[in-house]
Amino acid sequence: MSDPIATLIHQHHEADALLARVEGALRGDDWPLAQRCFDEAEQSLLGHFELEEQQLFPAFEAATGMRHGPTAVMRDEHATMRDLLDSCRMQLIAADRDGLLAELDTLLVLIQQHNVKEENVLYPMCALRVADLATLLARSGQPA
Amino acid sequence: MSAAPALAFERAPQPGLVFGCLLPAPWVGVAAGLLLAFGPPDGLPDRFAPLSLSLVHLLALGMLLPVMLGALFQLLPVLAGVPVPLARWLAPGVALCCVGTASALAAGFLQGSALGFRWAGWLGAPLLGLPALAICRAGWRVVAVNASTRMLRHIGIALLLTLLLGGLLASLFGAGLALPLPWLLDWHIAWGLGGWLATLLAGVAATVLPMFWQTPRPPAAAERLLPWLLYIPLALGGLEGAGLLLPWRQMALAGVGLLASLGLFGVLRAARKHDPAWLLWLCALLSWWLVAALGLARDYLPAQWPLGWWLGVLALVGGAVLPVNAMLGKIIPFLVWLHLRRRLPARVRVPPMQSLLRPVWQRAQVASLLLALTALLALPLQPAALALPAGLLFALSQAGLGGLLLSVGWRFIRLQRSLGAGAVGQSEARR
Ligand SMILES: [Fe+2]
Ligand SMILES: [Fe+2]
Repeated sequence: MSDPIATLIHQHHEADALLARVEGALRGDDWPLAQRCFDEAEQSLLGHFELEEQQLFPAFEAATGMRHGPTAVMRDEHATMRDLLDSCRMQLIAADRDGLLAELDTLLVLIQQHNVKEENVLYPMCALRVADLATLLARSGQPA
Repeated sequence: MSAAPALAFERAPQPGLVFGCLLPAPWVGVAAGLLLAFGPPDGLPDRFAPLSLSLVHLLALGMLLPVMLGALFQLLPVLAGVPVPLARWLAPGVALCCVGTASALAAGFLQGSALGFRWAGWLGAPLLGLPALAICRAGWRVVAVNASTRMLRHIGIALLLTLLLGGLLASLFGAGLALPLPWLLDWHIAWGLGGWLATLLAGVAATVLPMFWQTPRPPAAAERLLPWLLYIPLALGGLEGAGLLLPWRQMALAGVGLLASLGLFGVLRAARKHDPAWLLWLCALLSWWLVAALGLARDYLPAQWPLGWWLGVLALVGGAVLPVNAMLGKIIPFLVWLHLRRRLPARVRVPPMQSLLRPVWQRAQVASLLLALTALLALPLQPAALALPAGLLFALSQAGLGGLLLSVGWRFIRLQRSLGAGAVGQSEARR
């Protein structure tokens, strides 16, 4: 793992691309593809949230002493996004195309405004303040 | 937290403050449309016709500036982790100050009275200088890592210079001087359209286009172009005041053309072209591209072509009103949704943003705005006859947006009541 921050950002883009593929599949009425891409997107997002919550945020909190600052906001937003993923899952089960597209649209906007804060502010701060970030993130078994 | 930037996105200004900057915009657009429809069409489509000059300032200063200041109050903490100093006190006065100054200027141009210019130059420009200074101050602390933060770091100076030059021009008009130095006028327009508007939009687009429309991210080399690609030629323009003639206008136009081409390249490869506002971005970038192409080809085009009018419409309506409409349609439902989510208990499901602002209505509004843009570009064919329909179409498109945003607010109030009451009912039933 050369640059741990680049890896985290890459995970963001990967989930974005998968969600865009879900939307594309739904527009083409390809439900099996939509289902498959959604499964992958959900897995990718949840894995990424866990990596941040279990490894990155605690390390940042320990390094800066800020426990109720930005990481609290990020954890809150993860919770909201998990709820939205559940809502999407419900629409997927109900095979409600427009309902699912609407939930996906909301989820996408939420993810984007979350990621931009992490990528522009939180991650650079982590790179600056957290010692040995690469080992820390590798420990969770995430791909390099 | 001394050397590193403070993490301030949890300290972004309250949505209410930002709403105050954003929500009046469409209604100022309505006023501008009505002014075109019913104002004195004498001299149209000349760029120095009193109506043209009034409309330009009503749009740029009254409609666009408050949105852009509101956006910066929000973007600086979110994208760069730097809050704007005194934003809480500055934000409530922004829209009023912008609309007031724009109205004074519009009156000055329409009635030729010195009083309007004096109000705008001696009160409006200095007052608007305060948020500009606050943005300069915040920019000072921004760590430039990409195109957007590069823009945020330096954008305040462009606004400050535009206001300074504009205030100077207004003071000259106010003192009864008929035509100040043409160079001063050109430099004011160049800083306003290129240094402020185009640079700000390019910096914002570099972040929001990949976010909401899933365009490919700009290449790393292109990220470094901001803001110097435009600031260097504009700074060279200052030397013209000292008698040194350089091709700074052409350099700036070529810069705008390059930024627009990069943007077009991204937008055409967007993964979310189905989003109603995608078309607005496409047409906005085409408009900027045309501004650059027509501006550069100016000397080779027939003299009777209404280039001044076209460049103004393409930059201000095509290049700025369109993306502002696109962003308002995204940001307002998002802020409302987020607000509902935070206010209601976690187990209450908040309906998706698309149920706050229906895509089919948004599509209709986009179509009406593009129709208005077409009518405005066609106006020089028959200025006296086309001013009325073009103005009305533009007013209608902005009333459409204003109405949609009001309906989002109305849905917010109703949802908050019904979902909030439902949540209380549920918890009481459980007890
Ligand atoms: Fe996160
Ligand atoms: Fe993340």
